[in-house]
Amino acid sequence: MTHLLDLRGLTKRFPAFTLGPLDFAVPAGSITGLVGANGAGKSTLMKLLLGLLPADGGAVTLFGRTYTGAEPELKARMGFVLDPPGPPRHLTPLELGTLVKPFYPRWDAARFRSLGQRFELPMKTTFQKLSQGERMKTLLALALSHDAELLLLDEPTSGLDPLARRDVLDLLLEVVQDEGRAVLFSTHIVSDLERVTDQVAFLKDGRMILAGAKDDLLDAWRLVKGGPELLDSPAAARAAGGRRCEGRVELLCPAEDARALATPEAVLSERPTLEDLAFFHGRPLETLPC
Amino acid sequence: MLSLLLSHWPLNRRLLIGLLPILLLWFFVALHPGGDSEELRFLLIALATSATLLALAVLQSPEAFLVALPVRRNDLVRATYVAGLLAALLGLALPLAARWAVTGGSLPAGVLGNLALILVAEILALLVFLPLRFRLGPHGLTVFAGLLLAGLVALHLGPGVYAGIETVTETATRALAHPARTVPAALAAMALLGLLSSHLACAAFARRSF
Repeated sequence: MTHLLDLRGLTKRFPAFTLGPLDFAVPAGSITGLVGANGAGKSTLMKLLLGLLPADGGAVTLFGRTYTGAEPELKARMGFVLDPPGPPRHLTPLELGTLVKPFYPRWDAARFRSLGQRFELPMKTTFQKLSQGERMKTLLALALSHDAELLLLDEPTSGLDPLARRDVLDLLLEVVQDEGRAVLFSTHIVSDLERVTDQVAFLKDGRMILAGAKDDLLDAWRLVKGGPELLDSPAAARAAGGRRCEGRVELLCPAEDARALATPEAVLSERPTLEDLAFFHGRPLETLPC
Repeated sequence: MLSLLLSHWPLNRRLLIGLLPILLLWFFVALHPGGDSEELRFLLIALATSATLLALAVLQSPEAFLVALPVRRNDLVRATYVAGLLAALLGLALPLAARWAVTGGSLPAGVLGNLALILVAEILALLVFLPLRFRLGPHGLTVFAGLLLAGLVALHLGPGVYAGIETVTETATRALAHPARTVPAALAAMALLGLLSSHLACAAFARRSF
């Protein structure tokens, strides 16, 4: 399998926060979702991938090469949505197209115009006067208009209404129809991931706590619901997280443990959703609200 | 590099168009007789135009966004130096051309030498400012303004601002009496300073985080 993006031990240290070490790959033909709460390190990772921040350790390989000596060439094959740092606020989407066009050898002005129409963008309104959703769509149109093979999208659906969100997600699916392309997008709207992703990575406090093919991840875990007696089982101690609420207990367990736990009557064991994984994983029993 | 130079047009087009009526008004005033000497009026408009274009070229740059585009950081730095130099030259050439068109070629005596001095002063300012800007971002301008202020205060407390300028002008006039010797030496010194400044700016910008 060809990996368009490969991280090996990537680390970035700040005085109060450390991201990584991260090991992770994005295969061609896939959409990978990066999930995490605010401050988990999603935007920092995107900035590292775009060379906006220098890494303190590890390596980033893009299209099988590192940035050293090949940064413009590799970046020309990538599209990005990152805000901040966004584009100059005093320019209109049309002017932004003119600004970035000379940097991308495969810039397609007709595609940019057609995306502008598809997203119903006011092409002659300055970026600062656009709504949050329109800004995101502008950045997406810029990212999708130069035949990029790898899209790095930081919260691309943030601020979009449900219809526009669906449109954007459909567009991402169209992008990976071509199996040589891939998308890495971060979000905290987990339902977006359910719809379109092949792979998911969960970031928490700068660490990647779970990563893999979406279906494998969901198959590997069970959400077990029952009474307080669930907690007496030795398997409960191995739960990755859970909560106790009005006499009921919910535990996120490895699938093999769930079989042992689900013996008493009135115990329900079900395949978790990605939202369940994001919500419960790594949260001790008493820390989650009912 | 060319892409970066071209990016100045969409970035600054609107501001430039907004400034055009003001520039035209200055031109109009400067090209007509008034209280000041003809040479001083002309130099003032040349300085104003050149400094305005120079400021547009080196201040209006969305660095973080540009760094995310397919471009080397070093190219971004070098393009800013080139754009600054071109803007300063253009800012001097425009009033010169306007004057040329209105008077059919006559220039006040000594104007060319003083224009050269303005250009040198602007380039020196650029060479000090850009490393600060590429190291400190928007705060670079504040530090640069602080340095300018400190320089003016030192001049004021020493020989005096006017005397200082006069000394510089006299030195330049004396030097220009032997242009075959002094002009190449001055150009070489400027080129050396330019290399040093751009090297410092590149090194500083390579370490910047966005």
